[in-house]
Amino acid sequence: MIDTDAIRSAFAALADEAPPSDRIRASLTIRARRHRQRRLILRLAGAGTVAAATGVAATGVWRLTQPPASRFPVLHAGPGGGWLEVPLRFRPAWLPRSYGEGKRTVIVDGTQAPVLSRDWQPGTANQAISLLIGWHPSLDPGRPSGRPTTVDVNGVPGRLVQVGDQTPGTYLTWQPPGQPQLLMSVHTDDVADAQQDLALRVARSVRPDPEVTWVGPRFGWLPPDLATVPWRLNHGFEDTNWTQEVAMSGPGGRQLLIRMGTSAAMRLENTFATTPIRIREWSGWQVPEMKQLFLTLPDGVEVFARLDDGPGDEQAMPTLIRIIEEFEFGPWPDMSWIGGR
Amino acid sequence: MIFEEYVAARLPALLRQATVLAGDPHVAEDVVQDVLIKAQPRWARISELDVPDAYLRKMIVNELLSARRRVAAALRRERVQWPAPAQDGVDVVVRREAILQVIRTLPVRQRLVIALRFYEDMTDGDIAALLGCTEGTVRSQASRALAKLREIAALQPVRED
Repeated sequence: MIDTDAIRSAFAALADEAPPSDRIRASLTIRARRHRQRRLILRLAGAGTVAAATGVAATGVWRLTQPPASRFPVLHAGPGGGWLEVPLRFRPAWLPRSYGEGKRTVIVDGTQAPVLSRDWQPGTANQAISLLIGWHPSLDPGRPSGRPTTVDVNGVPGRLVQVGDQTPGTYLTWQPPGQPQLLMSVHTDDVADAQQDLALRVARSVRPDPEVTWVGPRFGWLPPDLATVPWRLNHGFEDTNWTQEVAMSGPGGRQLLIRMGTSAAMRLENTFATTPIRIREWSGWQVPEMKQLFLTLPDGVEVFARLDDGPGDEQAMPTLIRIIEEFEFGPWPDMSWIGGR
Repeated sequence: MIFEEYVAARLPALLRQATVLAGDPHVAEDVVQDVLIKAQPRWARISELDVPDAYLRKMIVNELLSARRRVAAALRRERVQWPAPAQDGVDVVVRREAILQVIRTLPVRQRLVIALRFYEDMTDGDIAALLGCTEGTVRSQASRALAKLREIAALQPVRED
């Protein structure tokens, strides 16, 4: 005879199989460090705070010789287009097996897009090869530093920098004649030498790319301290959801983040929001003490927005509400490139 | 409570909970690490909640329901050999192992529902809220899971006492 006690007993036995917490805490430290490093390069590339950490333990050799492990969703986000066309300019002609494009970032300064970044990754794994095209002074604080090695990238001198210890990152900078600066960054589970080989091989395969991407969203109003600073537009995905993120940092360091998409994480955040709010025809929630807004648009797309208090703006919530009231979301992005090479 | 203090105090419980929900300690380990890494940057806000445990449980459930995890779970299910039906009078331990084997191989949503119902003692309403579905869906998932327990392990109907 089985009853609820038998099932409970089975679950209790299952719980007893839980891994030891000491070991998890040790590996958590390593994975958190890798995650932080990944976030560092994402910030450098302007991708903001959307890194998903899903570490996959594998050596480079193993990864390069195994069948594709990547899993990219087929996303039906929107038609694409917008008010600013951005040429993709370059792409690598060779990438490790299973790598696909997972993220695109544009830095918008006024009506120009001086920087574009593209990330290729093995599915949602916490490894990435990024190509940053162009440069902007706002990126200077994150410029990789270290003892450089000069390498040859198809006849052009390149500057190779290795950073990190247990979870190294490799940065390779070069500038083809008459072209913007290119920065290839490699963050994988490989050892440093393998990363450098990978960076060089991918960099040497870089070719012109005639395709374009678009900037769809646009600010209708911003507070004075944010009105003239460059901002970042990031397109990516989490699980089977597309995400579009707009982020900027003011001179005093205060940050504005507007995140759009169908992400489950947004629904999760919504669960814990507090006060109802209605902005234009959109219903949602606000968390005034955290300066956060959660909205669900009529087409089901969810929006998360957050603004730090700033100088002369200790009550940032009304400011954030006005920013969103006058924000133009634009057409939702075409995300059909996710997983492409 | 800062993040490190929370992890020090609650990690063992989180791991037990995740192991039950995942049906696999290795998956639980991976999920808990992913969840904690994602939670750390938002910890200032999470820690202000009355029940940060519930927030993290929701994150664990979401992670288990993600497409990537579901694919991996499906592959694991294909590799698992179903147990032979238990005979009357079989030893309690053997019977528990048979039940466990079935629990491990249930589809994720079915396992989540019966784990939350029988291990966490949650009501169907609370489970529905956590999983983002209706109570009817919870009941039907539970019914399917229990039917599989009866079918595979040749168990008699569960007595709801």
